[in-house]
Parts: sequence; structure tokens; C-alpha cells
Amino acid sequence: MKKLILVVALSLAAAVCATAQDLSILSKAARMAYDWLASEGYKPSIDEDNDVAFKVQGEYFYIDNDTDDPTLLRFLVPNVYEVDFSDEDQVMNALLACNEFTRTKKLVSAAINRAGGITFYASTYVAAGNGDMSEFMETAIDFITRGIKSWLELYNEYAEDEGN
Amino acid sequence: MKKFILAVALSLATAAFALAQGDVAKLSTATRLAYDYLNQKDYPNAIDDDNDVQFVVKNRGFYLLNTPKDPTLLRISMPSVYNVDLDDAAQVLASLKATNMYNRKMKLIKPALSDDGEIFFFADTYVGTAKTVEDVSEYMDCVIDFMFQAIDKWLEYFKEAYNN
Repeated sequence: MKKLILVVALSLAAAVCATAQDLSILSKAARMAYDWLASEGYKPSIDEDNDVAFKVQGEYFYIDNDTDDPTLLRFLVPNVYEVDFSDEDQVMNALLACNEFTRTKKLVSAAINRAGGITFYASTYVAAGNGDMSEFMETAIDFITRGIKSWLELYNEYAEDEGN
Repeated sequence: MKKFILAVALSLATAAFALAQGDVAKLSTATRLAYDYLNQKDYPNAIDDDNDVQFVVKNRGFYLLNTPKDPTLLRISMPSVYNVDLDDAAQVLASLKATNMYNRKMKLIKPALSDDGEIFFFADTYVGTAKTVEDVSEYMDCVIDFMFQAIDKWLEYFKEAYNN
């Protein structure tokens, strides 16, 4: 029995150590974001690319773990919509919608990625000693979540204009 | 004569000060912090008729957009980065592609094409509970530096898109 308890305890300790090691690979900004997300109940995890991942209203949000730029914090919500690169009109309307979205929205931007997926972004700089990131985090999550819907509306407007 | 010049100079200085004081009171929390940062750095600046703050760094004009209804939003804008000929479809497409590429690959700065063909850059963040110039100065330093880098990067993307 004692052996079993010891094995279980060691396994748990190993698991805890593994998690701690994972967190140690995060940049300063990603770590601050991870801690904030965990404290707010978002249940963040670290994915295979070592980025921070979490889910909001069915969409996967990621936070870049960019150790070359440790104080830059960037949210990504990739591939929310898909664009067919073989359809020139679709590409043009998506480019116009991304531009309009980025121009008119606070904080967030949208772009077509290499694979044709529409990705949403928000980024900031985490200053030294600035521990209060609540407002940025809350606003970025809220604006991206709402922005996903409004991007589609913009796209549809451009598509309709083209049809008229 | 000297007395007259001194009197005029003092009157002008007093008038300018009074005007600045009046306008300063209308700045939002975030804009006021950034405005104080500009003065601390001795960057030439003036509050315009819309109560936005215009300032100059290395001969480049910038704006701090004043949003009293969203008092903790800090928006820094660099206008007139490039003028796109809207009658030239290839230029419009290249500028949209360059803007898309920048938003996809780079952080912090958002380029966009305006309705009158102007490419401008801006960066948004929320200052949260920041109360002193020191709380925003690293962010300001970083954004201004990134804006200058963004000009070359955007132009590189634009030329690449235009030539393909």
C-alpha cells in the first residue's frame, strides 16, 4: 500500500514538474497573460507550438509565445472564416473587409492568412512593472468575440455591393 | 522697443498657455498621460481644434486621438504614410495586400487604407489603472519606434505586391 501511495505521489509530482517546465518556456508577456487567464477561469493550456491556448464561445484563442519579443503580447483567433484563393472576387472582398475592420475597430485587426483563413488579432506591449493587464485582456477578448460577427457583416456588404 | 517686444511675447505666451490649459482639461485619462509623456520628452506638440494632440518626432507628424467617451483608450496615429491612387486598381490591390500582410505578420501597429487613399498607421491599447507618465512611457517609446520601422516594412510589402 505504501508503495502504491509513493508511486502515485511521485507521478503527481512529475506531472506538476512537467507543467511548471511548460510555463517556464513562456515569454514574459505570454506568462502574464496565462496567469491572468487562469485567475479568471479561462483554463488556458500550452499547445504543441508552445503558444497559450484557451476557448471563448466556441472559438480557440491563442497568445503568441514570442520569446524574441518577450514583452509583446498578441492574441490570435485563426481561421474563423475561409477564403477561396481561386476566386478573385472573394479575395478582394475579404481584403476590403479586413481593411475596413482594422480601420474602424478599436484594438483589433483582421487579416487573411497564407492558407486563406481569416484571422483576428489584438496586440499590446507589456511594460516592465505594469502588472495590471485586466482591462486590455478583457477588452481584447470582448472586441475579438464581437468583431468576428461584424467582420462577416462587412464582407457580406462588399459582396452585395459587387453583385449590384 | 524691448519693453514692447517683451510685452507682446508675454501676451502671446499667456494666451497660448491659457488655450493649452483649457484644452488639456478636455483630454481623456490616457491621452493626458501620453501628452505629459510628450512634454517630458520635449517632443513638439499642440492640441488641435478637435482636442486631439498633434506631435512631431524626427520630422514625422503623429496624433494622439482623444476619446473622452473611452477614457482609458490610448490611440497613437501616424497619418499620410503613403498616398494610394484610387483610380489605379493595381495600386489599390497592392496596398490592401501590403496592409493585410503587415497585419498578419507584425505586431502592435495597424496600417489601414482610408476612403481617400491615405495609408495611415495606428496603435491602440488600454492603459488600465495607469496613473503616471512612467506607467505609459515604455509603451509610448515602443510604439513610436515601431511606427518608424513600420513605414519601411509596409513599403517593402507594397512594392512586393505591386510587382507581382
